[in-house]
Amino acid sequence: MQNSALNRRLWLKQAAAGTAAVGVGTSSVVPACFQQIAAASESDSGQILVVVQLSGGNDALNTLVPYNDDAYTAARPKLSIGASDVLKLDDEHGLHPSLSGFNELLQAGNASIIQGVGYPNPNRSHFESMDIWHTCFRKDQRTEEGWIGRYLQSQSSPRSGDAPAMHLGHNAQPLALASRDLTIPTVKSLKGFQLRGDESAVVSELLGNQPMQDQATPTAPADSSLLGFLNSSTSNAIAASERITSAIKDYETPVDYPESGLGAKLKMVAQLITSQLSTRVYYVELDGFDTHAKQADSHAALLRQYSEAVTAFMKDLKHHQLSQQVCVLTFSEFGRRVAENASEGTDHGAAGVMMLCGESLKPGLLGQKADLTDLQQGDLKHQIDFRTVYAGIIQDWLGGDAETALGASYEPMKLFA
Amino acid sequence: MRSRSLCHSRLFPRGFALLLAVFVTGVTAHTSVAAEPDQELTAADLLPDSVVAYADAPDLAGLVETVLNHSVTQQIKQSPVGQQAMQAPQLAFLENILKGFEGQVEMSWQQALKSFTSGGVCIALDAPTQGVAVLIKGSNAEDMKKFSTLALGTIQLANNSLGKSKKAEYRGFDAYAITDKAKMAIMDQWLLITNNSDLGRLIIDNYADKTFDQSLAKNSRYQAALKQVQQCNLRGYVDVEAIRALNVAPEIYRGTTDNLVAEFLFGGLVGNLQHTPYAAVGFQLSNEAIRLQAASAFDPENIEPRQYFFGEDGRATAPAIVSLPETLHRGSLYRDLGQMWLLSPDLMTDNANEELAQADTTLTTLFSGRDFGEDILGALKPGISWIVVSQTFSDKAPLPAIKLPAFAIEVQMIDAETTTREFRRVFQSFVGFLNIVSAMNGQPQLDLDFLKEGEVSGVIASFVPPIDKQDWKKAPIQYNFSPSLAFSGDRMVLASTTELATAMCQAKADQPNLVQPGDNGLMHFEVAPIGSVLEQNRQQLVAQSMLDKGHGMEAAEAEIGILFNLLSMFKDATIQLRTDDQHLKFSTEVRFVTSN
Amino acid sequence: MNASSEQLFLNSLDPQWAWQSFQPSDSDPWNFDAAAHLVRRASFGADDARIKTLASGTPAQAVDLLLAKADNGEVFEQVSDQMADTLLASDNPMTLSAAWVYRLLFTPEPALENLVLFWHGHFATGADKVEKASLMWQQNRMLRQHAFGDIAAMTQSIAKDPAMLIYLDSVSNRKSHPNENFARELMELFCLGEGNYSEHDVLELARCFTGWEVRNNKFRKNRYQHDSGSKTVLSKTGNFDGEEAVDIVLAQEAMPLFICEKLFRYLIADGVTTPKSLLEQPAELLRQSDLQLLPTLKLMLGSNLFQSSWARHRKIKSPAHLVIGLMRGLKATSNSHRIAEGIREIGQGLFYPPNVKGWAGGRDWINSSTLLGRANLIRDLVRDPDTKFDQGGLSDYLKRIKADRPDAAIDLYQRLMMVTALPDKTRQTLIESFPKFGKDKEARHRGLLHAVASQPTFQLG
Repeated sequence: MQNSALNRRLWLKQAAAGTAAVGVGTSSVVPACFQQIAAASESDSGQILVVVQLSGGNDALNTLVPYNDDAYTAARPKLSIGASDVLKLDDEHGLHPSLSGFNELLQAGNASIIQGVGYPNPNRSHFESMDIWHTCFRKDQRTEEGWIGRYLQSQSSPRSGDAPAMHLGHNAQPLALASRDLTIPTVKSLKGFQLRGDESAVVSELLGNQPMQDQATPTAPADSSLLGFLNSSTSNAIAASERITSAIKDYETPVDYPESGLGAKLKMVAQLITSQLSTRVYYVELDGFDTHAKQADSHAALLRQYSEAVTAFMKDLKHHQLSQQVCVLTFSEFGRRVAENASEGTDHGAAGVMMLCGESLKPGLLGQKADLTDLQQGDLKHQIDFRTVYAGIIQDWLGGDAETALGASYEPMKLFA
Repeated sequence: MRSRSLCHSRLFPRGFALLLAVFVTGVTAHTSVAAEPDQELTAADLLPDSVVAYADAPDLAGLVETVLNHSVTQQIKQSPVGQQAMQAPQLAFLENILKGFEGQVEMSWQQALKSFTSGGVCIALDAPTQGVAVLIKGSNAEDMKKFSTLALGTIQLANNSLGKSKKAEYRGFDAYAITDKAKMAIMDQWLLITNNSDLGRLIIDNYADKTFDQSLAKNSRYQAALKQVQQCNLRGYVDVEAIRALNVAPEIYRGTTDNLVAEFLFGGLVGNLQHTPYAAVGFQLSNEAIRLQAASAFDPENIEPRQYFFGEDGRATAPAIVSLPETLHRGSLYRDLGQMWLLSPDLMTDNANEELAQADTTLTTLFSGRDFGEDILGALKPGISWIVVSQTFSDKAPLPAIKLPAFAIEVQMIDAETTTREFRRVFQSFVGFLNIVSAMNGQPQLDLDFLKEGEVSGVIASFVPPIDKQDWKKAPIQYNFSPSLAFSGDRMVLASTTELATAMCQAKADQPNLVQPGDNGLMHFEVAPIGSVLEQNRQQLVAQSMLDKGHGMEAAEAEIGILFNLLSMFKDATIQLRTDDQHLKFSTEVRFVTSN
Repeated sequence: MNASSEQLFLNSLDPQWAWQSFQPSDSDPWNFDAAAHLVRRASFGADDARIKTLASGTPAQAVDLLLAKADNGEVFEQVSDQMADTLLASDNPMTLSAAWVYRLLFTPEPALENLVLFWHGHFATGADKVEKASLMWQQNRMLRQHAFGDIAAMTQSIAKDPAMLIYLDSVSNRKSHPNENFARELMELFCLGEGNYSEHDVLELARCFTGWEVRNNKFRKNRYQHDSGSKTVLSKTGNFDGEEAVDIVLAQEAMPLFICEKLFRYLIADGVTTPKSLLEQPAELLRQSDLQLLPTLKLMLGSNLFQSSWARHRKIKSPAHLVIGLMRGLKATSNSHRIAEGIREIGQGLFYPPNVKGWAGGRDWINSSTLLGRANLIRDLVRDPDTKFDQGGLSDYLKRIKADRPDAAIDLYQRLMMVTALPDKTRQTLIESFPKFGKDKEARHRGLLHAVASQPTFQLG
């Protein structure tokens, strides 16, 4: 992997040098572009953010369990998880027993949990609350762009022709990725990155060998920058496709990804990352957290799916020596009501937890323990505004301007060591 | 493409005639002494009893004749598509070949086929040798020799190895190597083709020595299986026990699935493969019907964990089905739904069970906290039946642009009094829930009302008509429905329309009923009413065809016309699953419209 | 990137020369290539015979012919309206999208559809938010009705268009809380562009639209919620209602300039900042024609600038132009659903613009996944046995028009669908690879077409 990245940089440098030597005067359009690519690759810090959205409202109290809190056991006679079952973190907190993989990450200092995350005047509608998490604004404010979309838009345009972000899955694209100026692809499978058909070998070879500069075409003016742009984009696309194809073909990982939807998606993300795409943000979803009835079994299954997939993903990245480059951010549109309902489930609530995985984090529990006696309409009050978490991610991980991305100024939370 | 096949059709017959001449002379020069033919001998007598899969056509010529003279074939021939196909160069090429062939053998190809295969055609797979053998029994040794040599020549011609086959003799019979692997031998009126010399020798030895003790025909599983498909044109037999022992494709016998619907419909059938010693399949074609059937040995002792499927004694019968005019489809199954839900951990894979746990959460929410398996499904007697009828639309109500048939499901309650109340309430909350969801999505709202007509009571709902009468002419798809839940004694009917709910509650099951004792499940489709529902939606179909094929309107209408013509050839179709003393039988039958 | 040389060229252009009707000369002749360029930009390309016809007259005749009503236009209109009406029953906007593709493929008035697509991107409204197919269809019909004509009428209609108001979260607009969304987009995206209004104008304009709402999928005015007080919008003061407000915006000097700038980008060149001096003439014409579009359209399409070698290389084909252009160029028919899905995957879902700004076009169409997507879509389409060329096979069709040798086929594709010839080496490789593309001639030709259409030069035009 290291090698191929090196080769790619070398190739770009040579390309830039070669064309620069030819390109004098007016036809310097293309060399400039290649120099840019080469330079960008060179300085590629390549910090990548993977967002995992738990749709439906994850029950925070049964994720990070205050197992010693009498108020907790009192509010949840049937659903509370006892001291003997939780994966103990300290005298007060334990993790849901399904989260054993995540617990390992946590113990190794490669994960953190932020407690009591939310926002003022919580909205308990799935759609509206999710929109707030996506856009950082309420319904009557600006809702057409998302925080990631705005962040990407504020960055210089993607240098390699790779998409700046990707959404994986079959759902509609989350609003978080929307922006006025960028179109983010939704990728259903990696097949979209491969040329199809028997003739694909010929086509791929032809497309991969585009002229470095606009010569030779009898009718195109020498300074047609659009054609230069198309040529270089095509070469890049084929190069990316070949990298992805070989990344899939030769993909070797000692890690067993779980056979779940999220497992498959995160494996795809890992394959894309190892293909050295310059994509900065990957977005995946896990649905089903709206556990109004008979929550215990299904919530356990969902958390297990989450934990197994994320743990496998982080292990896989470590194996490929890419774990330093990646941070996984997990959120849900709200937590659930403190008291269980009569159907052995829980209803829509307010403050919840966010999870982070990565190697340069301030690990462990962040924020304060939820106070189960000080509720707001039966829900936990939030201690931390989710936008301060976003601000921390943007400023300290992605290296962007948080205020632009969030549309307002928030004190970035210290998330990284 | 065209030019090449033209050139073929000109050249090939000439080469073919030449070839025939060479071979026919060769054959006549080398007429062997025919042993006394045994007219009673069958392929199964020659095959070893270690054969694990076997298929045969006892009267291939008869089957081909039925196909060619069939009313459906005739109609296809007359249709534009058929006309076009008849003019295809490939067909002309084939006719040329047939003519050449007929000239050489001096009989029509139909006669030839009859003579060539009069004793049956079969193919068998033998386990110990891993060999496949094809055996064809003709009417007499002379014709068989003629045909076989011709066939050999044709194969050689296709392989560009005319006259180059290795020839050998075994036990006095001629044998040829026709390709690298395949060998062919002619034993009087028998033709044998096999890919395995050991198997080949075994069969010839059996024939020459007249040793039939260890033969397939003596195998009791084979005998029992064939009895199930005796009358069929094509028959198959599988020695499931032997295959299970070989451990081929173990996932088939694992007995768990991740598809709930498949389990519901066919779980018992698949589950029985874990136990049954054999299975038989048969195909039957007549002027009136086409029939596919399968049978496997069945022992009610072995049904666990599928008591829900077969009943505790393994012999449960599906509930009787009512009959209504304009019925497209009726079906009935014996299934204990509550039991199935609770048994699902044994029936489904771990993955599927995790999904089911999540579904359980959602369903229990939907049923206001009542446990879906225990309280909801458990309150019903085993067995479920359903019906689909075409509906007529009045101009006093909004007319949906897409016109769907109405459908209803009937179940019986264990404790009618309590359960009626429960379900009535659940239905009302469900309608309320739907209304909230629809309101959020700007969809039409449902209006609730109560039904009381004689014995029949229930809750009905209907969509509030659009305010603007302009919108009534092409109303949304919802206006096909007036969801209703009706009760009559123990019976509970959930129907897509109030009309059907009432009609079904009032209807009595016909006597004798479509469902016969021993029928575990039955589905019946009536084609004419299906046609009339499609007819109601003809415009939709035309528009779809335009989009799909890029047709203009006329071309699209013509295409839809062909679809309707095709449909008019069929009368009805039945799918049936039944158990009797020893067998589990599955059959599908499609009946044609006959001219009288 | 290095846009400066482009910009320099554009800035140095003499507007007088630029908008003069195209005068053919020895160096810039009116020929097949010029006619093909016109028909690609003004519509979605055309087959060999049609372009020959256009090239046989004068440039001005060609423009007139393209923009004229077709003899069978009304019949086609009826059939496709009926089809769309029928399909509305499924209430699935994607089906509607396929119905529009059908129109693009078969309409005898493709230049009109090209403009409807322009206006759809201009007044961008997305079905994923509106959800109701019938409302999207209603808007589409309205845009078609005015596409060549009355921009004022179109803007007035869009202000009351239920789909638009739903899309912009403006279904209710109360006196006490004027909804600024539509007011802002009206000036920023639809009529004037940024810098031609103030935040105060947005607030005041929003007051004019109070009481405008959508109920039961229909527009209505709620007079109890209308703020009938005095407003000052763009320096005009009065008790304006919504219609008057739209008129005030339309009367701004920036309005025709803004529209002409967008048209310039749609028809003439991507990704350049068009100097105001260059736009003044078409803008003036638009104003003089009472915002009737046709004269300006003719001016642009018939101009020296439009036919200049500079302009010919200044556009990247949109997904619709890429696919529909290929289909119409080779008289091809296929499954409209598949095309609609396909162009949506590569960034241009009809009825699914990415956001309120519509499709940015130009370089925005291109990234690694859309480039591969373009190649794969063409592949799927060309290899689909349901795709017929002049109702039959591709090689039969090519034979009929005497272009069935691989080099002749490439020449044909270049003539019809490309502005820049393939590099010699590419061309050579393609001809040599011809036998590798399939078992028989038909398969080989389909493979060759896929290979040609996947080339970067093919994306230009």
